Amino acid sequence: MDYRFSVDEDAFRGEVKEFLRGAIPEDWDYDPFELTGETWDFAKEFTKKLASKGWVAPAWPKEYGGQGMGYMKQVVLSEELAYSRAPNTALIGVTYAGPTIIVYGNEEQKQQFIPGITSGDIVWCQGYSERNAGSDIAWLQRRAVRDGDDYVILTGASSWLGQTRTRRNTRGSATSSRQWTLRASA
Amino acid sequence: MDAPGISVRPLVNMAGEHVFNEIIFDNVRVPRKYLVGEENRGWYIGMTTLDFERSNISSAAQQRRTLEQLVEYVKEQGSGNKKHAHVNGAGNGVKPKLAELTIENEVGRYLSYRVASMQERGQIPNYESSAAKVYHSEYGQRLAGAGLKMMGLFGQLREGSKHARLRGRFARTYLTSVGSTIAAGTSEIQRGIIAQRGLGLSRI
Ligand SMILES: Cc1cc2nc3c(=O)[nH]c(=O)nc-3n(C[C@H](O)[C@H](O)[C@H](O)COP(=O)(O)OP(=O)(O)OC[C@H]3O[C@@H](n4cnc5c(N)ncnc54)[C@H](O)[C@@H]3O)c2cc1C
Repeated sequence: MDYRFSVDEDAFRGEVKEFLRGAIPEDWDYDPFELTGETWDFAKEFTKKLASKGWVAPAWPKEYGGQGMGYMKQVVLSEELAYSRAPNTALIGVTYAGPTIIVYGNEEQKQQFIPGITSGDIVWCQGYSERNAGSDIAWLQRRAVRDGDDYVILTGASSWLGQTRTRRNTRGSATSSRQWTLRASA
Repeated sequence: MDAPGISVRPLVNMAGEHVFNEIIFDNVRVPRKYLVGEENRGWYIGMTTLDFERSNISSAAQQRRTLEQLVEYVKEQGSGNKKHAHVNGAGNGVKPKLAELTIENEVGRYLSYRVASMQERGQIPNYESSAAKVYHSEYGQRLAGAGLKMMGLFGQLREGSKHARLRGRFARTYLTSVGSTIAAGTSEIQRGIIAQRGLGLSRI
């Protein structure tokens, strides 16, 4: 049992800190949910910088735009980003949507969606919960029904709640099909 | 989000922030090529996605920063810097409270490291990540509450007031930290997971 980070991991921490000193103003103190307008624009810009270091999804295999970085180094990176309140807009794409598509998606879907995640261009959101299905998520009522080459997401008796992390300024065609990608198979 | 049949209604949280929306689907058409995995396997795919959500390592680091900001605030109070003017109960309750919050922050960090080290070895955490989730989110509330109190009346002011301190961080997070114990599985649900999977207790 060894509770210390390795020499290599510590050196990496130093590298991350140095990057963050250059990329984030000293008085930056915003939490993710506070970002709007100018701070949101800064967040998008910052995420691009992170992407240019290959640090948006560092643990993913190289073929998916990652670096195949060891798990503990990824932990170090996450810690430093969180400590500096780094505004990373790629988080949902990297932690939820991306892995799901990598594991279950077909080649075409991977080609279409993965590069936009690792480049920091696409902001994803997550919509599982419905008004009557939060804790009891097995009670989800939303249905997608096959109709020719489409799925139609039907309206149920009650209106559905997809409580998503959609920000005013991320609404665009980009965010859209992602969410349904997950939902369409529910 | 531009597809016909989608409408978006804002959900404003109790801190007055609008970062969530209710999305209503009304006969929205989605091309078949966007189906991920096989039809009617969505439940299992969805559960995979949630698993990734539960291994969050960032909370303890964010909270450590907040704690350090609070400690700085308290230190400056004694230094005659009028920028940070007031500490409630200085000298009495404050120091042990800050010490306690520091211990708790370390505990949270190690709970996260545990989850991380399991994942590094290819094990799949379940009740361990629930323990970290409950702990971080509830600690977030204790930290926000403690800071709010220490700052006295200043602590209650939000950004925008000229008397607000630390951009009104504690007044805001006192409100926003509540949602964290609900999001991604409530504290009750997490404790249920720990009881069943961790302790082997029956469901009811
Ligand atoms: C800040 C925030 C962010 C969120 N982000 C998202 C998101 O991005 N995407 C998304 O899809 N959803 C999101 N949600 C929704 C979230 O997943 C649900 O709110 C959560 O699962 C709880 O469901 P509910 O609100 O329906 O409450 P309910 O499930 O109705 O719970 C009500 C109360 O009953 C208790 N309870 C319920 N079942 C049990 C049980 N079996 N045993 C003991 N107690 C129980 C709960 O603990 C709670 O106290 C978010 C919520 C919040 C607050």
